[in-house]
Amino acid sequence: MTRKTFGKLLGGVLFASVLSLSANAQLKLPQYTKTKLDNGVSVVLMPKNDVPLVTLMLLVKGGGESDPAQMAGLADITNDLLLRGTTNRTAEQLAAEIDFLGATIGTGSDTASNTVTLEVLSKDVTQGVEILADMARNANFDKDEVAKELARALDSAKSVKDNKQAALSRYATKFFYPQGHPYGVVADELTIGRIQRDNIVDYYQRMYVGSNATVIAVGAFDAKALQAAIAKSFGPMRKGQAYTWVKQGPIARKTAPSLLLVDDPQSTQTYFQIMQPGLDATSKDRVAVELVNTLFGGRFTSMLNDALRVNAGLTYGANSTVQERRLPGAVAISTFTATKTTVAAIDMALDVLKKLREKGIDEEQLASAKAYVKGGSPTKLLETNDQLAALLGGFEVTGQGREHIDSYFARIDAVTVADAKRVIDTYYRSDNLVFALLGQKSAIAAETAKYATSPVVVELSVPGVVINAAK
Amino acid sequence: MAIRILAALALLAISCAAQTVAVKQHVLDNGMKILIHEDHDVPNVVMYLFFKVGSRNEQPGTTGISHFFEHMMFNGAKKYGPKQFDIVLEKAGGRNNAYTTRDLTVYTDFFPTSALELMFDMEADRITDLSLTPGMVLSEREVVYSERRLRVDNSPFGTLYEQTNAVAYTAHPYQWPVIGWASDIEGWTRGELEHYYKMGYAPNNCTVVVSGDVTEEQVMKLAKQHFEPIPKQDPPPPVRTVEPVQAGERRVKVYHQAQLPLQMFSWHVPATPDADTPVLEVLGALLSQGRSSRLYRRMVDGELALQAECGGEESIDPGQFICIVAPRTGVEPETSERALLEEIEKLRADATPAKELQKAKNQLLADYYRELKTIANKANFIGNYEVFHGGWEKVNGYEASIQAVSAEDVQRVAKKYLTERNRTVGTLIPETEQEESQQGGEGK
Repeated sequence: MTRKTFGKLLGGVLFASVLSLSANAQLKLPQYTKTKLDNGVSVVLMPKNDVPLVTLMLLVKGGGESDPAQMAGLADITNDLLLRGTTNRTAEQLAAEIDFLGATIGTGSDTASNTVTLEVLSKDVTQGVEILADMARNANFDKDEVAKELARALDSAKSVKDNKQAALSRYATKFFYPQGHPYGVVADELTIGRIQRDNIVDYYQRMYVGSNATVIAVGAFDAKALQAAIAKSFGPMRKGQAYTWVKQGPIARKTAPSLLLVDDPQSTQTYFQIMQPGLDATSKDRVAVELVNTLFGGRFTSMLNDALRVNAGLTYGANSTVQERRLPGAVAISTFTATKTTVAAIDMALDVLKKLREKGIDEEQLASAKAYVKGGSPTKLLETNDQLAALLGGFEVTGQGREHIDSYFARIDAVTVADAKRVIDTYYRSDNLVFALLGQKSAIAAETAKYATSPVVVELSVPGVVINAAK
Repeated sequence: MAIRILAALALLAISCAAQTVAVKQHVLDNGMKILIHEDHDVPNVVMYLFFKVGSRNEQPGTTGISHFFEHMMFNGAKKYGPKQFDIVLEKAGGRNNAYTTRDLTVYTDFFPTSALELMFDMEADRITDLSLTPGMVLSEREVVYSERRLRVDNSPFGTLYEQTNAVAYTAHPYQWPVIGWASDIEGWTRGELEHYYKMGYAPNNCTVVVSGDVTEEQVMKLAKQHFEPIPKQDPPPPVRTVEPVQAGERRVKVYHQAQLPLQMFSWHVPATPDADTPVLEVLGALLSQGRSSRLYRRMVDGELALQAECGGEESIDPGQFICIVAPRTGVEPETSERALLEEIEKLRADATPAKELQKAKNQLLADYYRELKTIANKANFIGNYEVFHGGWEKVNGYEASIQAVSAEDVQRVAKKYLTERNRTVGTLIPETEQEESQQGGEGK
């Protein structure tokens, strides 16, 4: 049992280049190199002598946004199947080899990329590169393995509903984004059920190619030797074509408030999100929004948590998140409360939002947010090999580089109260909000109808994440 | 021939001997123990305060009070009033959290070196002079209720875990949930809280671990100034109840709204300092660590389960070795149970092959490195060794303890603890809305 939903256990900073976090100090990304093999594979190396471990990451551009809408989950499942055997190693051999090294392997798929992350002891790094390259180049998608993986993915999608917060988040995503928007595509039993082996093989052949792949290494290694090992193992990868990013403008604010109610008759509490259009990862407003959001709903003493949890005891935690993706995403208030206090909690969240708009934030608050964000940045961004690899992978998607980190504190310092007011006016509005609720319809439908004129009601028990009504 | 194979395996074995963890130890006059791990790479510090008080120190009627108290420690003291602990720390660039277990309540602070003295001042304030105002008690009670609804009532896993534990233990306090029974959450009185504070939050009942950009001198100067004047108290009374030896399998069924069934298997095992603990760690790795593990291959890859994982957890009193299995759609819980128990039987009946045993050890030793990645992990690691293993210095004996585990040990320990008589099996059976309204139970 922990006390907070905020700030998972964060640790210290590990590299010596950050000497101080006093007012004038800056963050500094450790040195790294980026080169390209002849076949287009990007190679990013960041040597960092700490514990004798190396994080190796294969990143393939595309991810969720490259899923066909009717087959959401295709990118993710294809990526997972890399662990299920190559033309050189069966799934079992691959697993045995990795486990014997004491290595860990994980796959990930977000809205813009697929990753395979292999963490090996430094002494095994060459073998690690060879294994990773084998998966990237020679996955064989054995028929039985594919059938098993698809069946497993179906069950996993189903069991998401046993975690109410995760379930709500899927419905909310689908409800918030307009039809056709790549971020509104949600993998569920229905979309996964349409995926065939041919789709997977086709996706793999198009996307897992040199021009679309990046190999990242962070940790204790000899850079020259590792570069040679990567060139040797990834050099033969087919060049292919780089993925073309989806083009999509900002999300238009709706013209009226809207509300989705996901009926879960046995739930003893209501989970809800209140969403509105936000900004993309590289927006010039990003840092000001980050500071405002820290004060509004991004830390334990935030306005939302202070009101709903600390003062009113309505919830274990209330927060606000700002999606940070390649394309503009959402700003979302999120919390949960006992069924009987549903309206009290929603009203209070709206009231906190209104107060933010009316009162803005003052110099003292802004200074506190700046100190908080700066104080936590090194541990949040740069502490471990995994974090650094993820950061370098993010650069591949957003086009950002070292400057993004090295000028981060200067950009934070430059934010003024007037900047904060401007971003509040833009991203923390009270009009035409999108509400998504999961809870007992019979107890909350009538009362919550006041938030939007024609609420959409769906049943949690219906298979898939299905929202039938036109938006 | 055999000798050559073993030699080859020895070459492949992972060694973490180079990674010893250095700790300076002091005991203040009031009995508070201070452990310091210096790491000057960066200007950050973590401070973990381990109070040896958890739900095992509770009584029926006041279950959950340790966890509730953990929440109350943030609600204002003499110098730093309500909300100030968080407001002041966040403004100084730091953050904090806390967690409660069956054995411990741990406060965790993460901050820039510049906030070191502030941290000592704030921690001393709340250890010495916490204020328990009725309004705060009332509002925090609701927060804990909300946490219970989130983690237990609306979570299939939380519900199954709570119910299976309640059956696995018949006498010892490990039988009740850390968060407390719902009726007890309603009942705590201010008097009980005050008593609990005095008892549990004595400096002589606390180990402080400071890890990061500090020097021993710096820390000890502040510790003497801020922590040493805190008066010592009588520590919590010893937990007298010893769980009687289990003399036959126990079973519990829980009906709950869920998409898929869930199973929990629990066996009683000794407290952490026991010599069999490293063997149980190896057993857990053999069964379920990585995709080449026995349960992954048999159950996950074999399409019986979405997940099948086993392991123990550190405990002051005799604890549990637990397996959690999530059967796949269409797989009867009886089928997945049979598969799990057959795999356990194999560990009892047959010696583990040398290469597989070395694999499990390699995995555990590589995990050990992973624990050392951050100063926060190191602080937690050092503190856990101090309170559970009988001394932080045992951290540096970890490799040897794992390497010493033999195939005979694995078989012996599996035979000794993973028995039918010593087992409790919990099964969560998904039910739909309609089934619940019929309230039919098992009477068919």
